[in-house]
Amino acid sequence: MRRQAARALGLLAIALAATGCTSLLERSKNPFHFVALYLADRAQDMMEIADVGITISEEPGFAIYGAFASITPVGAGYVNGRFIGLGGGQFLGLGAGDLGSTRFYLSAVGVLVWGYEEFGWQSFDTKNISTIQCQDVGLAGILTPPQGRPGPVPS
Amino acid sequence: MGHVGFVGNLNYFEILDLALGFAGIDLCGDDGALLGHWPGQTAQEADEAAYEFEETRRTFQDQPTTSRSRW
Repeated sequence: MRRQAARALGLLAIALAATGCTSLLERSKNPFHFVALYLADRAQDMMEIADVGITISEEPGFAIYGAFASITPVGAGYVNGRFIGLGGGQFLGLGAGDLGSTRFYLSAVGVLVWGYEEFGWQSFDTKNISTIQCQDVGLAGILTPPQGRPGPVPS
Repeated sequence: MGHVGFVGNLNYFEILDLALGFAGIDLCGDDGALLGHWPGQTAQEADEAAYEFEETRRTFQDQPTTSRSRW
């Protein structure tokens, strides 16, 4: 039991060392604002846990793509349209300044040992990589350095 | 294939981000921002990495079809 607790504390310490603390103090104007932002951040985190919904696009798209835990990417896909559902930090447009749906972009390819994914949610420009999430996945992706803004990995 | 598709995805890392977020730890670096950054990286460094990657991306990806979409 003690060993497990020590291991958990060790993992937490690594997480703390590798990441930053929340930026709430810099963003909040007063204590009430602090609480509101804290709750808004947690709500957004919650809406980022899963992506479940329907995509619709003016142009026909194609996507048969899957990657279990970002380790086994297989398939390919390209969709640029709108998303109706829960995902990307919004739900039916709520949290994204929309109502009903939000903008969505996916471009992905996977060949099992390596894959590459690009996601765009809410507000993005497909010509500007710093506005979309992009990442290498698969076992080879672990060895590849980060490329810009990451999406959630593993997923 | 076509105009309608289905999406199903579970983001394991975001579960941890939510759990640690209650303790004030921003694992994904996305608190108050639409896009996050890799652990150990600042938002500015992430943008710089994206800028460097942009040229490589342009070589491999054809863009015209994306710009036509009005959605």
